[in-house]
Amino acid sequence: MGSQPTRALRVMQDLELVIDRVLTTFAVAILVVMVALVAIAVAARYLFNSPLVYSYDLSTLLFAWTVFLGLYTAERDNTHISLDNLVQMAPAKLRRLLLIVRQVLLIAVATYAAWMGLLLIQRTGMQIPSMRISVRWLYASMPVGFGALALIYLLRLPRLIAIREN
Amino acid sequence: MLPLVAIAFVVLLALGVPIGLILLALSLIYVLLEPAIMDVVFAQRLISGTQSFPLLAVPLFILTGELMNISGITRRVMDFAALVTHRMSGGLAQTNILLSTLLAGMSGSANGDAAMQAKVLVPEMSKRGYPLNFSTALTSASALIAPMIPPGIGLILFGFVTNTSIGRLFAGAIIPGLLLAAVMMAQTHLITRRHGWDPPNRDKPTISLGRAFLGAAPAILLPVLIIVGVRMGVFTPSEAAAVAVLYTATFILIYREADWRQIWLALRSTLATTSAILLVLAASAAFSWVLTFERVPQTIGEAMLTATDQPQMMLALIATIIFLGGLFIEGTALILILGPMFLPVVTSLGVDPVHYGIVFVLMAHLGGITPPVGTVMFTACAITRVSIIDFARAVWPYILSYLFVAAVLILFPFFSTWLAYI
Repeated sequence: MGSQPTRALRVMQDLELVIDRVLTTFAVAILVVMVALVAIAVAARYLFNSPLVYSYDLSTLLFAWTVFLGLYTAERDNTHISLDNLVQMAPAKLRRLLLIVRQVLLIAVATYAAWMGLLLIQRTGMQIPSMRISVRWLYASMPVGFGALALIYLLRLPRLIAIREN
Repeated sequence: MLPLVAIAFVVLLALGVPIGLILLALSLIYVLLEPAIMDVVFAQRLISGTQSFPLLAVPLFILTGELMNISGITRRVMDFAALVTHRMSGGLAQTNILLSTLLAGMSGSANGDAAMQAKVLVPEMSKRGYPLNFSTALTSASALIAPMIPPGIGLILFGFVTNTSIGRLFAGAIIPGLLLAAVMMAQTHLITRRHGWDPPNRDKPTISLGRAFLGAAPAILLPVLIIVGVRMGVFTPSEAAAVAVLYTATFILIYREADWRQIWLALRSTLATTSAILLVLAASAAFSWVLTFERVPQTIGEAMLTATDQPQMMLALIATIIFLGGLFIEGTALILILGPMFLPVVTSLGVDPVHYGIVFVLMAHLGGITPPVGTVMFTACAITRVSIIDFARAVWPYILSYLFVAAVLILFPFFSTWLAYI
């Protein structure tokens, strides 16, 4: 086969890596802030006797962002909880087919979840009382996280289809 | 409707779709077919599944374990464990178990424990002539002690989804965790002596017991701090977990053995693990809302009550279900999906929720080492390059003794409840 498809596959791999850098850096930064916030809240309560009222809501908001942004990292690091060795046992031809079917399903489900998240944002405008910010700041974590997950599944689809040619 | 969902679950599972996404896909079927179930409400359920302060303990305790392994505490505890066990037959095998037990107070998951010991201890064990599959099996089995002795991610998740006090679960799991360690050590003694592996070492140790203990003290002190703090109401489990992170970070600063790259990888690993667990948790929170429309929990409960109405038999039945499920499904998912489903059944028979929780979590962890699918087994075998078949040959005696501990805990609630209620 020509080098054109191979190059396209490599571009996708590079793209996957770049997105990983960006998302993981963001998510880890949020995680670190969350740890610090919980620790500071304990200190504020005991040492300075002045509890931070917004700390619960803010730390759970940050938590949602680490969880949903982390979906992408979890896929990259292969930590999602699944039973994937059954497919690996299938004969090569069937396996390729099953892997492609699975990948299409994954794209569909992740896209659907991202879409639901978007609908949710559109239909709500409440405020989180303790912080006086819109609850959309929380809900946005879902479409962003699942959107990124759908993207990595999509970026990996061509490689599965191309496997036979290599 | 329900049979369709059950079939779809099995097919998607076999296809290797992550369990969290399976639950989302099944909910999609419902949303499309049942006009009563709103997709937006479902999305809201999914997000609110993450919006709970007690859940923050999950990433925080995972991070504590990750940081501990790079801080240099692990190595010091290992020196201490090796010193204590060096006169025993199979000394290094005993070190393996004792190390898991001592580090359990800083490590909330079996996977991290297994990975660390497979990298560090198994090569040493090979040098002393232990067969590789035995070392790997022992490392995986003893890693299951780590999540039982508090803090444990399984206990936190169980407490969360069933509304059981996490503090009581922590306290209650101490004796079962130690019992597990004692049974494994006794069994290892018999195995190593029979084969003549690693005979007792009569050499004089190079460091004194006191100095070695001092090095191990930070790891032994932390669980005490956490349990006393949580049970006395000084802080919640999540706050205790944040304190534990700072505590461990302090030792990173003091020992100066970790570099920035290792810290980054520890954070990244925490992120990936947390996200994977929480996806299942949030999706099952949303999915269980769908299931209540179908009265699935009630139906299952009634079916189980027709099988037996004797508390111990019911726990044994549940343990068997978890064991069979654990052959194929990760224990965490079992805790999140089945834990709350069986709760009304056992409480209606008068079983204490803490007793139920400890039996449940213990059995759920076993799934990590039972072939054909087990995350702890995969982690250890990937590092030591042992095949699953060879692993299975060496691990079955430990699975039997693990089941023995489970039987003891089912028959005698006292072991699980005594420390939980003082």
